[in-house]
Amino acid sequence: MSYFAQQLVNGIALGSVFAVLALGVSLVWGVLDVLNFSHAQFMTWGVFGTAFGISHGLPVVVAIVVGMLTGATLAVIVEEVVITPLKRRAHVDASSIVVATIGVAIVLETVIKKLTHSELRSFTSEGFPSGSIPVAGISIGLLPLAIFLTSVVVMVALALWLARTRLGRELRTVAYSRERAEIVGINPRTSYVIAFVISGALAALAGTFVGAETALISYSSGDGLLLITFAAVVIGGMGSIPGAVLGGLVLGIGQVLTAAFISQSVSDVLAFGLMVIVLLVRPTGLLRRQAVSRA
Amino acid sequence: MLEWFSANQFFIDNTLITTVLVMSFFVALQAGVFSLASVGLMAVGGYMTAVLTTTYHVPVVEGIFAGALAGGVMAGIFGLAVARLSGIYLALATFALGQSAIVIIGELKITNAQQGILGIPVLYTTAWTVVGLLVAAAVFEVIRRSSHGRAFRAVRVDEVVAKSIGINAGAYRLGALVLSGLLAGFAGALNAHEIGVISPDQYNFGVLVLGLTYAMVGGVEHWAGPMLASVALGIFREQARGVGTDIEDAAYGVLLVVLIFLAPRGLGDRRVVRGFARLSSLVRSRLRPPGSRPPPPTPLATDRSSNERAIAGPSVGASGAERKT
Repeated sequence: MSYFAQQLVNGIALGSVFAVLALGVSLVWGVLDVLNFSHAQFMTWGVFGTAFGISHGLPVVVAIVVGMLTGATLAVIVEEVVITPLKRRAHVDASSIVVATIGVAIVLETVIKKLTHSELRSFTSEGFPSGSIPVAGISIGLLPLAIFLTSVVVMVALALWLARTRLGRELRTVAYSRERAEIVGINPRTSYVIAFVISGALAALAGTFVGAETALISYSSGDGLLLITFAAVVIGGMGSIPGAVLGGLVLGIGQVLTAAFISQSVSDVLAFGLMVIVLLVRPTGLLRRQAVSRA
Repeated sequence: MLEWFSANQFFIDNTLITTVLVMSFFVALQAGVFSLASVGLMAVGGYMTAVLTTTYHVPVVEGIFAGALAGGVMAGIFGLAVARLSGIYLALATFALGQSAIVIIGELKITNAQQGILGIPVLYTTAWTVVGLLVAAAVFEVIRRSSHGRAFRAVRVDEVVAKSIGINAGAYRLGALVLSGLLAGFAGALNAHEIGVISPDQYNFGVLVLGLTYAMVGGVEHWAGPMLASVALGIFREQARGVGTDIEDAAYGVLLVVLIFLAPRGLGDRRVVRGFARLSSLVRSRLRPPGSRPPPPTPLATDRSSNERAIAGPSVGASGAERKT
């Protein structure tokens, strides 16, 4: 029983990392209708930004902010240089933009590969919470706990910001319908930039979590996580913020528990399997009530 | 000539097999099916022939046919499963199905799990691939000129309108997926017999990116687009690789973004083809001696924006409808 509870805690921690990643993808999808394949590179650049900060003697929290700024800056550059100009052109459909983001991902990965000399680097765990505390008979790792709590804070803050502030509401209006947002005087380009800032910063934060957990980072750290992120977004419902959180948690808990109690292979196929089932049975995802458009 | 050929054998064979895979993406795309299952289907085809020829000692030619067929059948099953979906949901569903196939292959006993299959008879001839591609090209051309080609195009441009004029859109989409699966299976089988070793991890995301991007660069309008794009990009990457693999990757990424800006619907798009035609006629008229120059070349070169508007004019209705909302 205590083994199960411990695995559950690990699953929740992993799931909150997935959720933070999925939030960014889902937000960009909701606001811009763009499925961003360079999201994993925001994450990789972000974690290297954090590592850079730590290696220059900054306190961990400040270093994480440096990483998040790196991710956000990169995201805004990609948005301003590639995605918005493409969206403004006629005859560009969603699949063309997908290919453009793949191109961006290749470029960004190659640049970080060159900058880091394709080395696998160790990510120092100094300054991050370590050890574990006993709670109700089970010992809970402090790092997973910190990851979980940080994610919760971030998610709640994002939800409040979206619901309560002027900019947040503008963002939701643009996500609902760009035309209607323009009619009531909202400039969608501001929302595009903000969506990408949040997306890049969250990706960097998630990357730092992963780096702290695995203690190793490399230029290709983000690759495998991109597909899991997409799976989480689809499971929860594309464009839905609570859906992204739910999808991430379901996948994280599911992966850890199936790996612990069934087998690693079930855990590997879980993301794709759940994605297929959700798409076939309920294409709008678990939390999306109605299909605005499935096309 | 022959020397050059044998010196570049590996590159030529790889390019040809990649072209088969690219055509597999193209067949689905030209019917408006944004399918990402091709790499999974390629794995199915490759493993089919690998298992048949190593464990059951089936001759290689039959193995390759079986591989292509397995890809087609699997694609049919996928197609029935995703019949309700379209757009990005369809893309993600086909992607998940294709990846699941690869993950499952990596777990089965008969496919030797993660170790993969060694000692597949290396019996590959360039001629087979060339013949396969020529047959595919001929079939595409026949389809393109028939009512079926127009039906595919109609389904891609606007499914609702296509249905309203009596086209069985679902059947055409399914047919396109099955054809796509046949080609993907064929590519996988050829690939298995070219290198003689296969394992699940060789069907990775990179292969998917390669096939999809080559096909998108080529465009959905005409089969020659992706075929030429695949060969041209293959040569481009081979040349860039001479400078260094990192340069190759970065240059390819930049090229991809630039091409999407210049020709978002691919190089086979009619607007792009017409643009090239105009450009070449412009160059020719400039090159003529001054005496024989025809009357002022109208707003062709000077006023580009109004010219573009004039070109875009008549097709506005169709292109507006083609954009998925």
